[in-house]
Amino acid sequence: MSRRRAVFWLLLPGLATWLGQSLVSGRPGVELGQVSSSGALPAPMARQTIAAALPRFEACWNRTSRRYGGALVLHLRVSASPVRHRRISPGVTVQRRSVFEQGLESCVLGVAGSLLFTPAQRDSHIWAQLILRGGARASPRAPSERRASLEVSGRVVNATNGQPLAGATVLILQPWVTIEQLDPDRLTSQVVGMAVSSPSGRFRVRVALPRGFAYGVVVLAWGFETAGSESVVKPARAGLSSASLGAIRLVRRRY
Amino acid sequence: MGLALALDRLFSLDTPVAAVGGAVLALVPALLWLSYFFLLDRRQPEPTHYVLSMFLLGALVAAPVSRWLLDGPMGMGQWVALGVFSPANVALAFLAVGAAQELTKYLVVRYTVFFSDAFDERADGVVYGTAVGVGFAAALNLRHVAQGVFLGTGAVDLTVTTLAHACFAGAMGFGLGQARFASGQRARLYEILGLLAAVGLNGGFYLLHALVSRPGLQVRPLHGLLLSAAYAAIVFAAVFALMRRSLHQDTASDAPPVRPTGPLPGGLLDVVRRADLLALLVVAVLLAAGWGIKTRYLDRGLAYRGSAMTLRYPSGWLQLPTPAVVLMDALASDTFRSRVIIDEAGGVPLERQTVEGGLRRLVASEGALLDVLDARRETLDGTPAMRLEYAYARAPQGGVPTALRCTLLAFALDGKLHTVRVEQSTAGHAKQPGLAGRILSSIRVTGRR
Repeated sequence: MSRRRAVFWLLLPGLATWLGQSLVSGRPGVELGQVSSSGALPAPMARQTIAAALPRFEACWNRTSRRYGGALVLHLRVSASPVRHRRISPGVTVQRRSVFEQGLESCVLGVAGSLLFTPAQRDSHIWAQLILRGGARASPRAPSERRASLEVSGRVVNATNGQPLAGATVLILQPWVTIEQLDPDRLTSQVVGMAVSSPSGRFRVRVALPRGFAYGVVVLAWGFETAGSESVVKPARAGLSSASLGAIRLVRRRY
Repeated sequence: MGLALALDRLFSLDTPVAAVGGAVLALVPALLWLSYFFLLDRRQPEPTHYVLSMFLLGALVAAPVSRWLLDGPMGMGQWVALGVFSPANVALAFLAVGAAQELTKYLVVRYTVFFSDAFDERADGVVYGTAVGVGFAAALNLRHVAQGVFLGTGAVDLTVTTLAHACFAGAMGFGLGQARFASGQRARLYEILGLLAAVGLNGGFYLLHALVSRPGLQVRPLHGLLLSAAYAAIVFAAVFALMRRSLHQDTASDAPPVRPTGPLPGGLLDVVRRADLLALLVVAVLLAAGWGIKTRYLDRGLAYRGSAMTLRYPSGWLQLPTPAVVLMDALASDTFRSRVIIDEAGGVPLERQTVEGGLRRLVASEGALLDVLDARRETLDGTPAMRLEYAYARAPQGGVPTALRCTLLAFALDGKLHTVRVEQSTAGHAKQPGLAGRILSSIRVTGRR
């Protein structure tokens, strides 16, 4: 096999991974956080590191392992807060990577795995790579642990006739939770604030949120389609102390 | 539709139209579409009273029955679908809404006019199908406009809904028309394919409507409706082509229908004898699958303290972000939401007191307003437990006092007294009297007693 052809075949899995990740989880513009080892760790140590790190994450919903040119790469899709878990254990740090960078790294790993390591080294080393779905918001500044007290208010109305909707539930989501991921069984870890709309459709919720993130909002009401939007509450912007979401229009279920 | 939109834009109408205006908005597109499909069948027009009967049966039988199916056994109201393309919502669209609505339309055509001599052309299936679909949509729209709609978006919405339901039923009717002139397995195949096509189109429309109706918090109803209109227009073009094809087939061949004809069936046995139950079986399987998925999604599980204790609760309930485990009905419209509170009760270790004694201390600490309605000993997975029903009034700060009805189950877990309390307002308890019993009976304790 020629060298060029070998490099092509080594690059292919990385490209495929990149494309797969882009299609499955990486919507355009979404930044994926990533936990990766600072180098090639001996296999037992890497396994221990991952095992120690996993309980700190809210969920691990996919585990796959692939060999890139002989080097074993573990892909673990987990949800976690990049703020709290920026440093999960010695030697493993949270970094924020773009989808492109992830794909590039996979390619590099593939090439490096075959070119740099001897077969014996490949068998005794493992590359640990945890791909985070956390921090799925593009943030212009580094996130901060400092919290900003914020009052989120708005009004829930029926989109069909403009009438106020009483009793609608408004949820403020953690920054790494998308609407599709929202699970009624795990709201404790996924929601930072909640309010119920009054007879006039108005709601108000006061929350203390870490700066540097954007928070999604979901509105539920009986007989209406669920409405939601990601990254609508941004406490970092201009030091806001209140955010008005205006009139939130819910569309009645037609059946 | 254009006139309504123009009026809405010109005068910036921001108040919903009144009930009479809404009824006109709901019925005008229905009658226009009904006339249009009726006139398409120019070769041998159907008896007007048959077409009108189908319209009325669609409105007065198919729509209420499908509504009952969806609200009752399928539990549409409690179905929390957070993502448009989440498995729950896709199942809801195809296996609940699509299957239930198209099944009722199918039954109306299949067990009435299908047996009559008037059903003497392939194209008649489309005419009668669309008549039922238009009637169905008219009933749907009348209920929708009862609460008032904006003129512009309402007109578009009602017209699109009518066209969509007419076309779904038209596709089903095309299958019935073909089946009427076929025999044996081929006839059954046409019926089933027509019905499945209608279910698929209906489910797709529901998903698209949901997708375009909630792009974010600031919904733009007109944009969504225009996309729905595009979908309905494509389906309409397909049904129109099928109708033309049926008319062409009828013109080319004057062969009489091979299916038994005659007067309407005289009794239940006659209906069963003539029925092709396979089509019904297929839809029943779809509905059963939807019901199965519903029970999975509607009945959620909670694991407490690892999995030392588990219980089931409805899907419209959410676990609140509080230190104690609190589940609350997120979709209720009452001021006080029904809730389940799971907590470790009292500071006294259980080895120094009985469950009953601990519960008595706990109840005494609730206050003097409490009125015990019932107290009895129970056994929970082999461990002694106490169930207590009581009523009390809660007055929130600056709020109106609410009369609450509580059912509390106390039991030993990990050497301590734990309680699961279901709180409902008296109005909520009147609406769902068996709720507390259902939740408490689902508790399973596997931890150390």
